Amino acid sequence: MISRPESRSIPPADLAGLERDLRQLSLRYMRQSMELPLNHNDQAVRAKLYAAANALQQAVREGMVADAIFEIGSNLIGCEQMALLVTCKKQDRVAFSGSSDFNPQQLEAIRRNAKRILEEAPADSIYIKSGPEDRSFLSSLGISARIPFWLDRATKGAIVFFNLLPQRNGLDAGDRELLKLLCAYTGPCLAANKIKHQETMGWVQL
Amino acid sequence: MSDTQYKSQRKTAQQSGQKILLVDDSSTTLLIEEMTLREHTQYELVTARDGEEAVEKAIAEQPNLILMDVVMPRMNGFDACREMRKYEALRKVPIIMVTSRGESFNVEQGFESGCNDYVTKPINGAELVEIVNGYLVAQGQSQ
Repeated sequence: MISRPESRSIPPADLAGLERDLRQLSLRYMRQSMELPLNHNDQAVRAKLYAAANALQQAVREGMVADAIFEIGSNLIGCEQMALLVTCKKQDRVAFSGSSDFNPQQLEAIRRNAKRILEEAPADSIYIKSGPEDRSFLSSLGISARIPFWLDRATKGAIVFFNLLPQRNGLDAGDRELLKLLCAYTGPCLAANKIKHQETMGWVQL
Repeated sequence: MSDTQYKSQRKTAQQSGQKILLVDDSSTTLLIEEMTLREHTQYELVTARDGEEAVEKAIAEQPNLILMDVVMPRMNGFDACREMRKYEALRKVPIIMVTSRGESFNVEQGFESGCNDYVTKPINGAELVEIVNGYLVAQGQSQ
């Protein structure tokens, strides 16, 4: 189970510090990936982590963090139906945006259940659907994974992954590494970008 | 087998001077493809970010193989593939589609547009090198 990060592992929230942190992380993953032979299981994981850290670093600079998250989901994890939920300062409502294939049923699931989606499983842990036998509430909404993210120790929102692409049978250990990266960096990246609520698809009252 | 032996074995199997055109609007996919092919092969790499640019680069660069995404702005991969096949010099160049969807409908549409093969996203480095080498080593031997 992956829970709220300890203070020493919280990424910096200022733009320059965050960019530097992501650049160093990206270079480290690149080196690790290049040192491993292609037939090593971890090589592909390190390559994806490199690409993801690189995408977040660029996104922070360009103010395109939500797009980068959807890009990582689509191209590195294999999920094109995603939603990003961001709680507002007073914690009484949620702004949400969806990726390209996010559909009306999923939109309705978010509108009706945003509070429970944020709080289930438990709230400060990454939820990954365990398989067809998973009878949890999140699974019943068609959710494959829910990744919480934080800012200043307060839960700031979640990334919701709905259906995976047909060639993905489920999320594996490599995906879990990517989800951990998103869990740690989404909050600070969005904060450094001064989250633009006008770009969201809508609001839900909690 | 050690890392060095593995890489050396893969690289010596390849022909030098062969060129691959990588086409994708996703910076993450392009980054992984470029890093994997630069580190584990000796092919020259050229990139394009959409179908129209891909057609222009293919005509100008005359690559030995094209690795192309399907869903892209301006011109999608299927249309770009059809467009490329109109040119005599590109008619026999292997085109491998990189698709996020492996369902039969998309695969059939890909082959109808003139592509030779496809790989699905997320990109797997070992699979990518294997399929690219499969086409280019055979091409090098027949020349």
